[in-house]
Formats: sequence, structure tokens, C-alpha cells
Amino acid sequence: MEDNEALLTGMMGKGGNEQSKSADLSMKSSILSYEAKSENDINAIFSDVAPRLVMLVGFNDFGKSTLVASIYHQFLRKGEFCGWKLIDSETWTGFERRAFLRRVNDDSSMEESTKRTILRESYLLNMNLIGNDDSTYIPLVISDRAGEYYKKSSSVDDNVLSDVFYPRADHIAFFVDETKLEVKYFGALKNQYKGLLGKIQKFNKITSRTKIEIVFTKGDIIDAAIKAGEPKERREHIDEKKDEIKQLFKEMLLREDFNYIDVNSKDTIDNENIDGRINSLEPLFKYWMSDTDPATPDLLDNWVNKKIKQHG
Amino acid sequence: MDKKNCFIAGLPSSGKSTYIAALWWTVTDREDKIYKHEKNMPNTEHLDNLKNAWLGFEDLMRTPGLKEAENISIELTKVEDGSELSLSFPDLKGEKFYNLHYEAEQPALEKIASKADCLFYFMREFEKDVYKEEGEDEKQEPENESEETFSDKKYNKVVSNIIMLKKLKQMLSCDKIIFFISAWDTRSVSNGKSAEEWLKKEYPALYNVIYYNFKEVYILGISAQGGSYNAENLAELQKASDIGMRAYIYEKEKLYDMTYPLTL
Repeated sequence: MEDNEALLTGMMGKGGNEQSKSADLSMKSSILSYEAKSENDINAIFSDVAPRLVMLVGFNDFGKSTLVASIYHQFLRKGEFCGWKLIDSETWTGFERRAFLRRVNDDSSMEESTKRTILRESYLLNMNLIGNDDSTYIPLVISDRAGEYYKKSSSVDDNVLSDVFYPRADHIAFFVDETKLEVKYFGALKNQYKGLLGKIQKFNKITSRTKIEIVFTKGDIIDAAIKAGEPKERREHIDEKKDEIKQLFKEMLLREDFNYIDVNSKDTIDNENIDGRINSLEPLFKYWMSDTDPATPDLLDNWVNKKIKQHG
Repeated sequence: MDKKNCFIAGLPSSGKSTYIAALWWTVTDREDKIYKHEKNMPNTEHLDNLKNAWLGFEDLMRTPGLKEAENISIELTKVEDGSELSLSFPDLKGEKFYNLHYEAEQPALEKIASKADCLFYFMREFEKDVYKEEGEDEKQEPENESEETFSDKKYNKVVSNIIMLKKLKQMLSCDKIIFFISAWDTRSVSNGKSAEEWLKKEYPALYNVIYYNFKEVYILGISAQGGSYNAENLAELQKASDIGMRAYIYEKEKLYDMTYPLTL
């Protein structure tokens, strides 16, 4: 991070040296569209600071885009989140699109197909973040691909083999929708993850430097149903299946250092700290932004530009 | 003689033309001012039309016949020391800027912007979390919600402003912005909050983008219109006009005339 710090020297507020606000943080002239980017566009996003790469993995309607939109919304409304300020993005439209989907997701009259990130959509989203003390700058890139893509990946070798993001990601967040852990859906969910994780392992796509989170979403929907009178056994069953999923990840990826995080659907919809409790998005986001081992130059080769490689 | 090329920009209805009208009135008619206009100009039709509409309490956004002017030049003299300033700026419709959302390139706009040494950007307060069609605030929602689809017209207006600022930044060769928050008279200034503090609190993401992407930033409150034009207000506005206090710029609890930004 020495270079990041050098880059930001002098950005200490309005009274500081105005000239020292580095040109490297200025808006890129080459980009005229602010849609999400594809993997081929990634060089257009950055100046010369290594990005933090976060990959969201999960099947249809597991809440990946909703979570991204919620974090974005948090930044838009408050300017900062978990000690980080959003100072720019090259994918404003991509975020706006997801914010729109997040809004209509709450509308049961919408057709399912309109709610999802679709398969052909570009999927890389960018937030340029600076620490609240103005001392650390991190361009965050989130890969938010369609659930359909991962469904296909669970059956098709080439999908996993050709994916450039797995080995380069600093974080991979696997999403598990708790409502899909019920008897009716569990078999298919487990089978899909088994297929996907098997291929990831077969092609050795994840290195040990990549941190892995297993993000359980929509658990509060189950809890609300129980509170409304449904049998408590439903929760016990879900918890049992959560353990089964955790075990599946351990067995398939041959590692145990997972970070398990529950994200409440209420937080992803309302985005407010209700009754003073911590927003459940915070632990996940803080974890993403915590220190990571930088990607090695060979991992970034042929993908992000040489300047970034030097920071590796 | 110093020369200043200002690029005046903002979304539709953000107060650009009202500022130009009030500026022209200030340098020609107001007694107490920082800069005055003395020299003869061969054609002041556009500026006079704006000024007359402003003096007649006409809403400049809705006044028919007011056209765009790509290059307005005014020669000014500083009252304090007699130094001279040649000011150039365009008066372009907000729609032209809004079109930046759709059009990859706008050579005419780029040509004007590339000469500027300062961006004057105007923004009017808006609802923060509402996704409405630009300029269609009163349009009825579709009867069938399922017909709703995303389009780039559905940007949150914070993001609309951010995207426009980014696109303008690409066109400009300068790194200086004077960001005006229009209709400053509609909010309480008695709490002593500066326009910068207000923007930071109300639109923090927009503030961050401005602050971290331009090297020289000034954020000012402006009331160029002087207040809303309704029957109850007109007498009071006329009185304010008569004593030269109708239009003002607010910064750190002080009021300035329309020429103040030219001194920054």
C-alpha cells in the first residue's frame, strides 16, 4: 500500500495542498458509458492502483444484486459506509440498474425475468473508495454475474475453466438463500453447488490467498414466518441444512477457513440500522475491505495493465 | 486585460439562465457591485432579453423565445482598482447537457468547454430517492407497474448530476469548479451552515465526487431569482430589486453580488 499512500499524500481535506490531489484519481477520459463492465474493459476502470476484487457467486434470485444495490444505496445516501467514502465510480449506470431492480424486487407484481441480472449483461461494478482518514485509496471491483451463469457453471466445464475472475479475486462470496434450504429446494441447491465447487476444485481455480465467505441470505424471512405462527422446527431444519452446506464447502474446496455471514433481507431492503442494531451488511463489507494478500503479478497478467501488476 | 472563460452548465431548470440575467443586471444596473460593465457592446439582445424577463418576474425556464447563445462576451471593470476583465460564457439549454447521458460525443459542446478555465455548475435541490423521468415530475405513474423497465432516464438525480459532471470533466481542460446551489433563499440560512456543509450533508456522494475529482472547488449558495414568483411575493421582490438585494450569492454567512464568483 506504500504507493497508494504516496498517491494520496496531501489529500487531507480542503485546507491541504490542492495541487496534490493526484491526477491519478481524476475521472478517466476514455470511458463514456457508466454501465457495468465486462472483463475485457477492466483496464479502463483503473489508474495505477491495484483493485480489490470481490466475486459474488450464487444462483438465481439468491440476493447478489440486491446486496450490491443496498451497499451502493448506503453510499449514495450517506456518502460513506463502514469507514469508507465513495468518491467515484466508472459504473454508475450499472449500480443504478441494480438499484432499480432492488426497488422492483419488492414488487410481487413484477415478472421474475425483469428482476434479475440477465446472462448477457456486463457484470463488473466499480466503487472508488477512500478511507475516512483520507489515507488509503482502494478501487473496489465487484463481480455480480447472473445466477444463470453459475447454474450453467455447475454443469459446464468451460464456464469455470475460462472464468478469469476466480484466481484473481481477493474475496469470493458464495451466496446461499436460506429459503432454498427447505425440503422442496434443498436437493437441487446442493447438487448445483456440488457441481460448481467440483469444477472449481478440479481446475484449481481458487488459490489459498483468496478469502472465502459463505453468505446466508433471507434468513429473517424464515424467522418472521415462525414469529407469525409457523412451527419452530422449520428453523431447526434450516439450521441443519446450513451446517450441511458448510460441510459441503469444506469437503469440496478442501479448506476450512470460511467466514460465515448472515445477511438479513430487511437490511438489504430498508438499509437502516433498525433499533440501533448493526446493519448486517457491515460485517461483510468490512471483511471485504480488510487487508488482503495482494494478487501476484502473474495472476493479473494479460488482464489488468502493467502498472497495476507492479503493485502486486 | 485578464480574460476569463466560464463554462456554465447544469441540468434543465437548474438556474443557469437566471444567473446570467441577474449577472447582466448586476453589472449594468446595480449600484454597489464588485465588477461593472461600462464599455459599449454592439449587440446585447440576448442579455437584455434575459434581463427584461428577470425584471418582469418571468420564469426564465418557461419564457418563450429565449434562445441559446454559444458565446457571450462581456467586458468588465473592477470597481475597486479599475482592472479589466473580459468574460466569455455560453448560455446553453439544460437539455443539451442532459443529452450527455445518451450521446457519446458532442463536438460543439466539447469545443466550447475546452476553452473554459472554470466550470460554473448549477444544481437545484431535488428529492433524493425518487426515480422519476427527467422533466416529467407530474406525469402519472404507469397503471400497470409490471410495465416499468429501467432506462437511463430513471437515474437518481444525484447520479444524473454526477454523470454529467464526469462527462463535462472529460471535456474541460481546467480543473476548477464553482458549484452553485440554486434557490438558496428557499432554505434557512440562519443556522450559519455554509453551502458546502449543506451539500455535504444533503448529497454526500455528490459532494465526494466533486471534492475528490476537481482540484479547485468552491461551493456557493445562490438566489438569482430572489424568491418564488407568486402574487404574494412580487411586491417584496420588487422592493428587493429596487435596493439591489434581490439576487445574491451566499458563502459563509455573507452575501455577495452576482460578480463575486468572478473573483474566485
